[in-house]
Amino acid sequence: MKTKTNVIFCGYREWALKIIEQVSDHSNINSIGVIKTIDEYREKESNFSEDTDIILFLGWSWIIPPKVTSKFLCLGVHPSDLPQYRGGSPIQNQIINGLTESKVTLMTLSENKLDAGDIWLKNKLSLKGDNIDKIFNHIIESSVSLLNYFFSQFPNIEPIKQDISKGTYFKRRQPKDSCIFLDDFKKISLVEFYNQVRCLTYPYPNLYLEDKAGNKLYIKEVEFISSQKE
Amino acid sequence: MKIVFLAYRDWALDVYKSVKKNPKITGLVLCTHSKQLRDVDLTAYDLIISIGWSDELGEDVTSQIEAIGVHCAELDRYSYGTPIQLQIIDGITRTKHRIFSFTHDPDSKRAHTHNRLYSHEVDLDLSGNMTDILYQMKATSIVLFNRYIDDFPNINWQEWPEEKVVRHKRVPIDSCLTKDIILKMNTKELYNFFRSLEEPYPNGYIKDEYGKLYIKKVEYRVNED
Repeated sequence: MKTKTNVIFCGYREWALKIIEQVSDHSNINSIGVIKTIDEYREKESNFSEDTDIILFLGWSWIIPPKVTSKFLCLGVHPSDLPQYRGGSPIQNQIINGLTESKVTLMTLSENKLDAGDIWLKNKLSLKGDNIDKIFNHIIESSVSLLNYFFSQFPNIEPIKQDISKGTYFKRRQPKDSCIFLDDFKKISLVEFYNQVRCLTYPYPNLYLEDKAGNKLYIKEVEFISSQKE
Repeated sequence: MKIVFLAYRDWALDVYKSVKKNPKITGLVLCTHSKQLRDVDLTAYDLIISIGWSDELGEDVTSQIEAIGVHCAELDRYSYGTPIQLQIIDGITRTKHRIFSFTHDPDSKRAHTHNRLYSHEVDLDLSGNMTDILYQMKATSIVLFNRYIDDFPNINWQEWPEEKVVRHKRVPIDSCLTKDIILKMNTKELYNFFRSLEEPYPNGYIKDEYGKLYIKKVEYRVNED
């Protein structure tokens, strides 16, 4: 009788690999593969073991074809309180819109719409911190906790259907979205400026101020000291 | 040749570690704070080399022994303190690193450079981030002090012309920009302001009613179109 869940992990970003490192030795699972590049994924896509129970994608940027999602249970972790902030650049879009608390959501990768699959679990996620590395650390901590709980319950756990009509969808941000024209600086508050800078620290295209001559000042590192009481 | 070295900052101690290997040096003492200097019998030494030393050297010191230091400006300019920051903010990218002799003048508002004599100089590039500038200044300090020791005692002192322009030493409130001030600046001026205040200096910041945003690292790109 099979007692453990066979899991293939897919992730290439540093924070995704840290999550995989911390959950792949869970006592309820057999980690039967870790895929770290899109080329490696494409090479193995047609030959995943029939014994695979779950393929878990973390911060994965490519759409999974129906031939895989229909055959295997494909799950993904999305750093938002789905169905809010479906789509691209969820961390940036939430922070720029002023959110400081969110969730990580474990969902089934759907065949048709992006981030629209069934929801298995959610866990709290803080979006506070002066740079994206600090946010990544929150995502790692929250995702590890979420996945450890999930693996401890699976297969005795059921997902719930996602109602995307109640949510929001955002497109992936482009490098040009990191520009603030110097003349427009007066239109935004210091906190709004701070939020844009901190969610666009390396490895993302840094926020920059552009003047009338087209010269650009990139803001690479900041620290905000609030004068308001928490 | 016997030398008293004054140094306590990390970069200054690195300069000391290099310069002390000069073969002309037959005796040396390192002072890392003023009390140690007071205990030294200065008549037993030929020279004081001050490396990034903040305290003024009083007349009790300068009347007994030749004392030299390095200053990162084309003196007489920027002789009142915070010369790196003021030059960068003023848009200067090429300057000099010079050896000057300490004298004491209780009526002078200048920082250390009370007389107008320098002996050796090298070019200093003030473009780039503070890490690049401090790295360069460490290397040029080593070059300047070694040249001075090599030439000692036949030092050719030169006088720099006096200037009436006074650029006062910066104070902490000068590191604050408001939105109104920013809107009057272009990106190059902002870049110079913030890069001149990168670590290890207290960072430049933007202030409003909600708090202070410290700008710790910036980069500048000129429009090539």
